[in-house]
Amino acid sequence: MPELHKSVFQRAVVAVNGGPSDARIVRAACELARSTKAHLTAVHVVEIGWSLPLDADVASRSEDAQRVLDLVEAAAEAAGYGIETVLLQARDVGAALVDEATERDADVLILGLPYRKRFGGDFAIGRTVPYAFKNARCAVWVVREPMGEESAP
Amino acid sequence: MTDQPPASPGPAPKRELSGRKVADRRVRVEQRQQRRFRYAGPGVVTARPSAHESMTPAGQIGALVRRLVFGRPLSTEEEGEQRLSKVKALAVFSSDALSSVAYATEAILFTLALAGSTALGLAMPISIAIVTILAIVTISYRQTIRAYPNGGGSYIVAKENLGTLAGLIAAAALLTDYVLTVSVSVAAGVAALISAFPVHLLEHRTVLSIVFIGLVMLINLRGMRESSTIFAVPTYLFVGGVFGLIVVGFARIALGMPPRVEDVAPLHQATQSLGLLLILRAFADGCSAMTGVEAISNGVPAFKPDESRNARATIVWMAALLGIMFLGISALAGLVGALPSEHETILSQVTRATFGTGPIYFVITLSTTGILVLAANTSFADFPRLASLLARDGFMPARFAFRGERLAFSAGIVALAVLAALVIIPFHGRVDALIPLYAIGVFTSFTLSQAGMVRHWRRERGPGWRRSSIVNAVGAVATAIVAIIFTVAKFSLGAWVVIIVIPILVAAMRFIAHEYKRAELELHVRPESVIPAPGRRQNVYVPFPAMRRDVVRALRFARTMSDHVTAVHVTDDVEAGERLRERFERQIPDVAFVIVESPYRALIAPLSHYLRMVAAENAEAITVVLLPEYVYRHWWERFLYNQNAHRIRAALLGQPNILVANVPYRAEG
Repeated sequence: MPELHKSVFQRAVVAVNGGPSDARIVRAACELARSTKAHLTAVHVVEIGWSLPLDADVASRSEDAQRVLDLVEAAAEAAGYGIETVLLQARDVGAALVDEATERDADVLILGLPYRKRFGGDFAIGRTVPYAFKNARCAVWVVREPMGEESAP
Repeated sequence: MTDQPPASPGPAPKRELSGRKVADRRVRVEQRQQRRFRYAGPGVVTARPSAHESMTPAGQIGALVRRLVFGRPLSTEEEGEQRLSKVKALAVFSSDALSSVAYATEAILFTLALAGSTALGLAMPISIAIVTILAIVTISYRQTIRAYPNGGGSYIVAKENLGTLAGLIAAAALLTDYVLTVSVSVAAGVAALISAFPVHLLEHRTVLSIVFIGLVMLINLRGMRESSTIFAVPTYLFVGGVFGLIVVGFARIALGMPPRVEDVAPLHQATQSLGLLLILRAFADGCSAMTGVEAISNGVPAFKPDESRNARATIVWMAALLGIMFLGISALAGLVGALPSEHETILSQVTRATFGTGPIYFVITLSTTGILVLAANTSFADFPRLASLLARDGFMPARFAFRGERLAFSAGIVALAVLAALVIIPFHGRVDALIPLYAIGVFTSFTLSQAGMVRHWRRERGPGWRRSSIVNAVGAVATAIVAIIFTVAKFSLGAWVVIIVIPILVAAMRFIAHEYKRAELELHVRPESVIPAPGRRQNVYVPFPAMRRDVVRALRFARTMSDHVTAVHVTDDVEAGERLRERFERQIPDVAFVIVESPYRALIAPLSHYLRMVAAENAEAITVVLLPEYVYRHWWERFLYNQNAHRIRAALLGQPNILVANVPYRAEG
């Protein structure tokens, strides 16, 4: 496993969304990146609805967007590793993440996935992870949150 | 404080980027407003390094220079990385003790030589007695470290077990000795250098000593870890060199090729008979070898975990190295016929006799200079730490408790360097003149610390308390005897200075504590009290010299504070004053305008007396004085503007019921 990291992981894009798994995946990414001194970029995408222009002043005015990245930076600092933070506005989160990872020539795109169920009981994987699986040129790592007590079979 | 710092005005810069498909465009938003602060949780923001940058060009240049000289600022979280391994800690905390090998034997011989060359044979028995006491003190301090794993310097141990006064005496004694350690060790380092290059350097002894103190200060301001890395090399070079010297010296003696010291001009002829006092003086001089033994117990928190275990191991290493090297050099000095001399140190003579004046001689001499200068480093590690503890307890100015950009107690480091340089100057950097002042403080603090430990064990009564208290009691008695010997033997030679300085320092620390206590009582807010909304009315007064923008801004601000605003114009020309009133009432209606006529043309005194008078008359209200302040754009403009504002502020500051505030005005363009 460590050899695998060494060969594929020099630049990683870590997708963060302000959820509880952000700190966990950032810590994990820092630990994995440390051995090869890989460059980490945390990307937070603010989805812009079609009613607004794409470059509307939304993310920069949003304290929440900034807080997501600040907390990511703090988590990386606590892990003793540096991380670059990027704030994006896009129509679709998955496409923005994949394109950002491609532009940065990332070896891996790391995403967190909360354990959620749809109405009816099926596991809900959302739109972003399948999009990344289908379209990302680089490797895609998904870290799923542990199952809650109530969800466990 | 708000949850989030205010955003910069205007929209943030953005960059539009294309994606795989036309509809996959995205915009990257520059996070410029967050350059200085980071959100850390509800109601908390964390200052980034850029938030510590100065906003003035001069401050920015200063920061750049500091970064170049001392390195980048370290965050509190990086403190763990500054902890020391045993190997590095031995270099930092033991350089003082180990370096005394370079001058302790010499100090004994210098004193014995007063009774003639036959008395020099007593150097070895005296050295053995000193090493015995060293062993006792080391065992005692191992126990202190075990009992106080968070750092049990003499101050803490004496204060907790014997009371505040005993703690302060121990602290004052140690502070005095730390300063003298720096002076003596640096002066001895320079003396070692002069032994190698006598012709060129003798006349620059004082200047060289001060330069070395400055260098050690600068390195220490870079932080403990860096100083330990830099100082480890000469420390271990010296230890290796002295061990090599002892081994080769004794090997030559065993092989029948004993080294002999030649071409040394003895210091002086016998002037005294060999009496008990002279022997005691020689013993006291040699005890300077034990200074620095307590350093490890003070600096336990600087060790890597397990701090207590590592510190106990290190103090044993230190004592073993010191004991072997000291006895070895004392024995060799006697066997090779080394004589105390003004021009060459004993260690230099022994090295020259053993190795000749080849490269090994210069390596050992230069490493001796190195470790003697670095011995000062032990004091630089401990003085600031002790000063910070005293500051934390309110016995020294609070500034000593703050750590600088590199996590070092910068104020303590600078204070130590300045004081050590001030000691060097009147004694012209002469080691023999400084030695009598030295070590008395250390033995006083040893004694108080050990006595405190006896009380500690008797109070705690944990497992093995009897044995532990006996060990510390033996240590206390031994060091007390040495302290008494030191005082008696060295009193007339200069020890009286230290005996006067210690009580003065104790008195000063008690005075500072008294002042802080008084201020604390004055400023104390009872935890159960709920602060009500202000109920007192504010009467705001604005000095009004002329109808100017800065004055008008102050007046407008005054009107946001209160409905009771008065402009006060002081003048010796009532007619001009009335013309100003006419304009004032036209342009700023609804604000009172008072003219204070000043027939003697004074401005400040009539204004301040008038304001004091109205404050006294309206004691139920707070009198607020707003002073317009013109913000200048260049440093030299400070001599042109705001002079009267400064004088009015000075005249009113601290007056009862009067509050003075400035309202800045920055000219556009």
